[in-house]
Amino acid sequence: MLATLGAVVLSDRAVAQGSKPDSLRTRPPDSMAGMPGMSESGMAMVGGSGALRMPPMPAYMQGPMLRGMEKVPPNVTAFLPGEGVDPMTLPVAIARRVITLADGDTFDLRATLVRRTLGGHTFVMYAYNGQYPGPLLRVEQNATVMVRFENQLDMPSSVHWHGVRLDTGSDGVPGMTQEAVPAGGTFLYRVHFPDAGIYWYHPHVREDIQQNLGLFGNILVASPDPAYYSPVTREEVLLLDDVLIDRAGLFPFGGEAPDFTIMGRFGNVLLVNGEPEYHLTVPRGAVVRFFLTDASNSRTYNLSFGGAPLKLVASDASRFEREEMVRSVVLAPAERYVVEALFDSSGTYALTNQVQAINHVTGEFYPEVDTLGRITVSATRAAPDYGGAFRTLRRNAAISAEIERYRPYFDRPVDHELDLTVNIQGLPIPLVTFMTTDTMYFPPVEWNDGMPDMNWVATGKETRWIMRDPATGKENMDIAWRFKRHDVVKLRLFNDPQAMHPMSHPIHFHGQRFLVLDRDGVPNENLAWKDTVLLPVGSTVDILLDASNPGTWMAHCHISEHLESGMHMTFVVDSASAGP
Amino acid sequence: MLFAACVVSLASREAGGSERAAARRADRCGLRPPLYRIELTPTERAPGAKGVARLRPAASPFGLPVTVDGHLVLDVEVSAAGLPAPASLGPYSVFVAWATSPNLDQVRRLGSLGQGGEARGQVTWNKFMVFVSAEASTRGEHWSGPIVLRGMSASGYMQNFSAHPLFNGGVPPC
Repeated sequence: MLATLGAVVLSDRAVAQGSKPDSLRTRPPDSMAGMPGMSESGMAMVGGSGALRMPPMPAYMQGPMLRGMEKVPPNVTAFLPGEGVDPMTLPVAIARRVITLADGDTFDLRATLVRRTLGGHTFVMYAYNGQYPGPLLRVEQNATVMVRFENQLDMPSSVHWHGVRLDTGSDGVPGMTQEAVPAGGTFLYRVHFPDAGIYWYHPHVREDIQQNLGLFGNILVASPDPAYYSPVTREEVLLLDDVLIDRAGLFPFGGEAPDFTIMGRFGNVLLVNGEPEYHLTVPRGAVVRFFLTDASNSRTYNLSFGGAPLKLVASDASRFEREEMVRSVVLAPAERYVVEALFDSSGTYALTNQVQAINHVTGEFYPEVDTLGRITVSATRAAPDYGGAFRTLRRNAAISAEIERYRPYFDRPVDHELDLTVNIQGLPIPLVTFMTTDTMYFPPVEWNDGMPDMNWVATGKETRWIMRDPATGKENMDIAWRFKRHDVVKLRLFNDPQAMHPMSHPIHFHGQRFLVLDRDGVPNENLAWKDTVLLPVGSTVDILLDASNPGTWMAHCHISEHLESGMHMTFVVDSASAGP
Repeated sequence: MLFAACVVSLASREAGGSERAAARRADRCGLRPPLYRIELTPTERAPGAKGVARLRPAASPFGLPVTVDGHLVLDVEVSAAGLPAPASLGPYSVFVAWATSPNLDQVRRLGSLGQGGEARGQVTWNKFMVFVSAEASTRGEHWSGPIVLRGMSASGYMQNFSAHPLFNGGVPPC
């Protein structure tokens, strides 16, 4: 079918369209469907095409397209990395390496263009130190390391140490804590790790492009307590990501502003640690601790491990008060969860993302199952046997004791509120007509892009995602909350379901940690320290912010296109302490 | 009517919280059916009845509770008032709340309406209906008596636009 598509140049931009421009146009199929579905033979992609074209869509999205949209590409120029660079001159990216850093060490981190192969096809992408994902840094809790960042990209960049309560000057937010590091420039980060757990690093410049193209890596911060976690057979650190690829290569990004700004960019090739097929082999009876991070621009995952029993252990910035069994893990962008899985039968367990996807045109749900990888369990029995430890649900008294100090604040009045909404103006009339007609239902979480062609056309020029302080009416960067150090602040976040196109938002507070106290009036009975919280459509979430780290900080939605479309704000924690 | 229902529901739900926030949220109702509330409409068998199904994401350690295959897990609390005595409708002794898939091929008994006129249960379907019927027993797995109240989840109101002129050969809007 793709062979029937042509290309028409419109205002120096090219967009694929039907062979009869005035005829009913159907949506372009997802030529990468079934990835490792990049299975069409004879495809030769090196570098990809920067021409604007319709985004690929999964089979259940095939059907008629919004009339009048045939000649309406996004109001941005197309961007792909490495313009004018012969891809074959770029270094081939390699799989992630583990780097163990001791207190006081200095580490060089270099962002560069690389040649990357996915499913047998070659693309120009970005990488830290030539690796996908970036190097996995292993450090001890309370260590401080220096990171010499060098930007060899074709655009400015920075490094944000997500979830790490470090000094504000090293938080990596251009315009707030530093100037963006220009192409060819360097910056020295001093990164202190006060909390054990799984963290990650990524740019804070055009995350929709840079992060999506591979600039992210994990940091595993080890507690000095050898019993911090239960004993396991092995540990696995999994970074999840998705990229959007069609027959012509990587799907271009918006140059001057992001595209896909309504629902964010959903990739059609799902990656675990940068590979479309994750594979692990373990002995029978193995207990594996998985450290999970969602580095996707917009996708929230619902992960399960082929029916293997799962124990939830920790989240962003701490363990849970008590471990509990779960059947799947809901992981929103930037969130982390630590789970342990018991593989007690030989055979193959599929790591899957199972969601109920929506097609906004047909008004229907579709079950979507993405197989991200496989765990092969051999007949050999694991030794030692950690099955007993796995079945024991531990209570983490240290976490509960620490949280207990904050419990007196749980019932305090709400200090600040944030309403999450959107303002969309200037989109093509057919799209506006559809959006103002398709108003009856938006799911709490958009698990998929339910209207890719329309989402694609919306750029940061037309879409303004909003965090609004209802007490002052201020929005986004006009908000400037001010706290004293050691303030304990109760915030109420509300995701307005009556917005023009509401969507879930993973909200991240830089430099601090918080507790999720209450969701929609239901108290949270099992707490863990977090730095990112998912706000489903229509939900109200109360969080208790431990404003203990002085500096100027950002809070924002971690859907990259929402962040780049305005959905961020400032708060200041003064050095002066609020009290003992 | 939808707007009025929103005002009532949200005002009561926020009773323990910020009244200002409640008012603000109530003002926003009416553009689309609320996600977490189903207004139950009476049938001709109980024209004076009214009811509501309040939905709430089930408790979960995650941002949203879903099943392994991705269905949202919703706690449902059905409340009704103005119902006639069950026996006035026939050989019935109790009102029972049910949830069904839209094409009725799956049924789940949410529970009997107690003396307070309330029943609780859980639903894991994408689209579903909630209704109340008069029954002879509290133990049936399928309703058999007359339906007195019924309503549809917000997801059930999603429209199919694929045959709409917007998509299918109609005049482009201008």
